[in-house]
Amino acid sequence: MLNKPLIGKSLALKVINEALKSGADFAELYVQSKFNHSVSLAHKRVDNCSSSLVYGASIRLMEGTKCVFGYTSDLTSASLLKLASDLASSFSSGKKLELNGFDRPLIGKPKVKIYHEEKSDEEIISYLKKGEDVIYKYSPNIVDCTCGIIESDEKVEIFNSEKKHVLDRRVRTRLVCSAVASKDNIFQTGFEGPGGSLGLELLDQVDYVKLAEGVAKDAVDLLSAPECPSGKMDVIIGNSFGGVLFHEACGHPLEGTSISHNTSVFSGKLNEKIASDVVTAIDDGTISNAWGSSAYDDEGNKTTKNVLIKDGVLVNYMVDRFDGRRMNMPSTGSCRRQSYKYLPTTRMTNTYIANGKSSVEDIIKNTEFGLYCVSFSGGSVDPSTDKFNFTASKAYIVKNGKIDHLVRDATLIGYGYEVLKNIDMVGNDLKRGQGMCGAASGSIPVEVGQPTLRVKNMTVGGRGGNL
Amino acid sequence: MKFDKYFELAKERGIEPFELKFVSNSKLSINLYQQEVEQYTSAQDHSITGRGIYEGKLGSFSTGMVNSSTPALMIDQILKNAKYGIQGHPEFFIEGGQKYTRIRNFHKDLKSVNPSRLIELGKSLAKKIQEKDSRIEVVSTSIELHESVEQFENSKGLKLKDHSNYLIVSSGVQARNNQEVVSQDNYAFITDLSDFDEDKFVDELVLKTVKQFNGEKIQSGKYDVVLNNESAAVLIDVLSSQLSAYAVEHHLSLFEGKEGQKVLSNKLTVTDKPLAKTIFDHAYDDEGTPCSNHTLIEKGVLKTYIYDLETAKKFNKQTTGNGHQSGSKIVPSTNLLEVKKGRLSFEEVLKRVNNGIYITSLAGIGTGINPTSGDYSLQASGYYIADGKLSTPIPLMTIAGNLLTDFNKIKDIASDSKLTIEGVLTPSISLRKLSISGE
Repeated sequence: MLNKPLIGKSLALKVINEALKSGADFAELYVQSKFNHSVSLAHKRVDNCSSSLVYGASIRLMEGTKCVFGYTSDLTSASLLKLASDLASSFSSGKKLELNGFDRPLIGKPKVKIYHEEKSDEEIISYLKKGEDVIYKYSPNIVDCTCGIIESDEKVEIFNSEKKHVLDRRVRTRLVCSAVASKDNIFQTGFEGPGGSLGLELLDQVDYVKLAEGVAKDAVDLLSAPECPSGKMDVIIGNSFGGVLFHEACGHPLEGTSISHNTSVFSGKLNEKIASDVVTAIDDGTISNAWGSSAYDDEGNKTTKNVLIKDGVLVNYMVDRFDGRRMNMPSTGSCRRQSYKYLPTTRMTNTYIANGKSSVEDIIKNTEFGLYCVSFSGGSVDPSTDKFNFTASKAYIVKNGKIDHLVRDATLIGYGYEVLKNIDMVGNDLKRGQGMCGAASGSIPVEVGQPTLRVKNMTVGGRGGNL
Repeated sequence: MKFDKYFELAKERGIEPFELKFVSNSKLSINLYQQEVEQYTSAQDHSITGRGIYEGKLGSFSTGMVNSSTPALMIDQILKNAKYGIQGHPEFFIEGGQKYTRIRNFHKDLKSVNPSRLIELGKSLAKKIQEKDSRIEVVSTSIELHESVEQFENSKGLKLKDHSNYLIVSSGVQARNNQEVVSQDNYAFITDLSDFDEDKFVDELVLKTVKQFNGEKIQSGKYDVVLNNESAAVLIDVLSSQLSAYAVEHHLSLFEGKEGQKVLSNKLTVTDKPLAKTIFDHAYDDEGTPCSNHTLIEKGVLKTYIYDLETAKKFNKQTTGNGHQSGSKIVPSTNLLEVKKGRLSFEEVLKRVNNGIYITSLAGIGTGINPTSGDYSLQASGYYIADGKLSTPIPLMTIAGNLLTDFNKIKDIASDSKLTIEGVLTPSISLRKLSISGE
């Protein structure tokens, strides 16, 4: 099903020309077919074995800084031409562009060793079952767990009025594992969700039994951990998913969507020092097999490695075609969307802070009193004020340069621009983690990452009373 | 749309009972940046979902692709998924011929509204907002008109049809006073354009925005707190999600074993109201069960969990008409929730708190609340309450607690009910001694 072309070139040409007939200076046709399949064990049974097919097309037209957009799940010639004609009627400049063909198609091929159809649900269930078994065996306090796999095989075809024709296939696989432990009306959870732009070779790359044991341990350990104290303190943010802090506090405000509308604190600050010297930050959609990678973005541009902050200086934004018109900047290949139903815009891909020079041991040793966050749930930001929040599910109190004791449920808040300046030590243990990011153009796979780093004087909110 | 081919094929391949839901959506949206239309969206799409029992197991499949190849694809996928599906039972599929309350979700006047009228409305709102205060530097306005037609049929004679439409208007603003930047938004659900009070909408938004200037930090400590409608709605919504019989069944609810017991403050009464004459109304749930209003919490006592057909069978109860699609599954979840309003005005509630904090927004809901334990720690902003009146703004703080504990410490419930975007109709609520973190 996914190997067939989604739409004929001659129909695509007719649609683009119909869309251009009333004055649009740019037209794009985006066609998507995405097969999703997921299996999960929960409540000691196969709780979910399901599939769905996302299928449809959208047309986007631009004239200067005005954009007209429409979508349909009816891919017949009559439906697409009607949509193109309806959208074109929004313009009336009288200019009429006409295209006589597309360039040779640019093909994005997934780097997959084992495609999803090469393993049966039975094999997958048996793999997940080993994780489920180890979680329940870990402790009698475990009350529930979910062990699952999420697979997607997506084909995207993009045609535009600049003769571009791109065909990109994206195969993604993610394992999820969560455990819930309970004692005396306290419930705690552990979670891991490794994934990538790859196939079922992920199953060989992940030691799922070890992963499941770690998840069970996290949930059970937290049952006896006291609640995090609140107040101002130095915070050491662990590597990998700790990068959520940068993603929320700085990544979103550097997206073209808010920069172009002057609704970001970082608007107009290119080449200015916005972070401390030890901070270099990158958005890189080209990382091989990474969860947020693809060969082309959702407007058919090649993805790039985009250095955003170099040694504390803001050197670039993330830019898409439409916002780039206001910003007078070229695309950085990071225009993304959940599906054909969403208007695409600038989004992060795999975003991380580069390695620094400090060792993790040095960072802890140099912290007289603080919080060392090691597991994270996520967060959110308002780009216009740069107020962010970020939740650490598991953290340690650090006293006199040593890890003291485990605490739970810490919420970190602040202003992103202040945090960037208050990062004073960056470790050398860069690692990336996988998650889903929800914003204007829907929910999309992204990686966040960083080495262990320290932020001076952050506001921590917890229920464990004042320091 | 005719479903004959799907039902024939399902019967032929041994899927019984079998149900189909076909939804056709259309959307018109207009987004303005400042006073100019920046994005115009016109879309139509559809989706079809099939669900059935094969050899005792449930299987389902959904897609937006509806053409001659869809029936065969759907039936193949249902058979494949049913192999490892959960145990099904014919009772999970409702018989035809039930009695349903007539609801009015389709508004003819909205159907005929001209897009140019909506553009005019957006421009007018943006202009009024910008002219109201010179410190407003960015206004973005969105107007969305949604229409949906649903057909729902099964092999047990069920044949339902629903037609709905509504309009949502929202505006977000950013204002600057020297280096200080504040932002705020406002929204309105509209079913009759002539009822929409533009000036009231603009006044509320601008006032809420500029009042935030000259904010101060707050010392960490315990404070009496008044939650505004939106903040109360967020917390009530999460708390009520724990009434799901599915969560109870799997020992993941803080209300497990507490049906019939007093669990929250006796000032709190919460009703599940699918028939409230709002845009959130449902005549039937996603299993086709007729919906009705029912009290979940009455003066703090947990009257009932919420059930779908599967959990009702397990608990030997009747479904409460709360079966809702969640991914590929149907699980019990709430409809519109109504918190019974009190007698005091908002001003009287402030007066009785005297000194405390008024919370106007909460952020980090997705990650800062553990719904199973009720523990929460959230980013917040609001105002000091000093001598019974709103005072200095507080732009950034955290509020932390436990939903079960804190909603046992209700001081007062105001009479200023508002329907929020979460589908919760609630007044402002004051709570005693919550943990606030700032400086």
